[in-house]
Amino acid sequence: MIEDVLSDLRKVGGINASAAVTRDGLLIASDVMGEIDAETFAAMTATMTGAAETAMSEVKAGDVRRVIVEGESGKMIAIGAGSNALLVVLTAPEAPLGLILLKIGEASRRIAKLLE
Amino acid sequence: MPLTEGVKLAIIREVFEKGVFDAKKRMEINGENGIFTISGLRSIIMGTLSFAILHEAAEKLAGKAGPAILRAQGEESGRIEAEEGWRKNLEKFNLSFNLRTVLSTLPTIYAAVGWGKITTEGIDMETGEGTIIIKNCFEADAILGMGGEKETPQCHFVTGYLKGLLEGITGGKFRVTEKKCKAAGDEYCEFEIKRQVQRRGSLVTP
Repeated sequence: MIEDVLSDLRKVGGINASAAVTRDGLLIASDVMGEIDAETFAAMTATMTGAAETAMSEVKAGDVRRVIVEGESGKMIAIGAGSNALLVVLTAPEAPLGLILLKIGEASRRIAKLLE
Repeated sequence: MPLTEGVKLAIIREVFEKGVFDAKKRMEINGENGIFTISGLRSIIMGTLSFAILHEAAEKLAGKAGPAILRAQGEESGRIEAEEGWRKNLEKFNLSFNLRTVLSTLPTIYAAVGWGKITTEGIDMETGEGTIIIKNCFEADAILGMGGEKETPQCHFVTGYLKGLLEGITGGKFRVTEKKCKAAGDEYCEFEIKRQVQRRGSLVTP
């Protein structure tokens, strides 16, 4: 189940929350903190990724591999999980990006397979 | 003898069905200051084609996530309408603010203001689950008018609106999915409505 994939991600150091969403912004599953509205978060992350894709397309910079947003108290990373879904994670600011990108890459492939 | 709630609802339906309610009579145009109102509410008349333009703009900016923007607009509109429109008006007539009263009068009221021919008979009035059908949905017709038939359902604003309205009435969480759409070649638009519950951090259908 996708919930299990998200649950496994939580065990990776530095990942605080994650969600699988459709590319048009619907929540599939989430592992988020209580104060986050998961549905709104899903719509926002899909919009953010969609806007990044259209911007990259506009400047002919190719397909988007991932979207990384760095904030003062955390990072948000969105990555494709098959043609119709995205995986988005929230990390602590000091989280090791290399390891996390490796783990969310694996998780996104698991989610894509589950959604096939 | 005071009228029962059922009689009041029947009267409201009759008023709209028989055309006793005439939206034109509620309109006021003030050419001097350029203000137009319906029942005292500042309004503008906007062609439905503008909805198709909103679709195009949302897709241009957000790509595949364009529907998320339209659903969010609809959801907020539905939530505000539940509180500011439905609750206040039903209370004015001393009627209960609940799913049954809203869903039993909604088809005639929304038909009178051009949303299309709505059928709520497929909805369980206690839970809100089931299907809503809209024939001649304004959003689908707008899309067809702008660029012709699409491959997938297109009534994203209406989908969000129904979700916001139901959640505004009940305080619960719903998932609304457009299963059929006139803009995608179906005879009418059909919306599947399911309640959502929180489980392991996810919203799921029980």
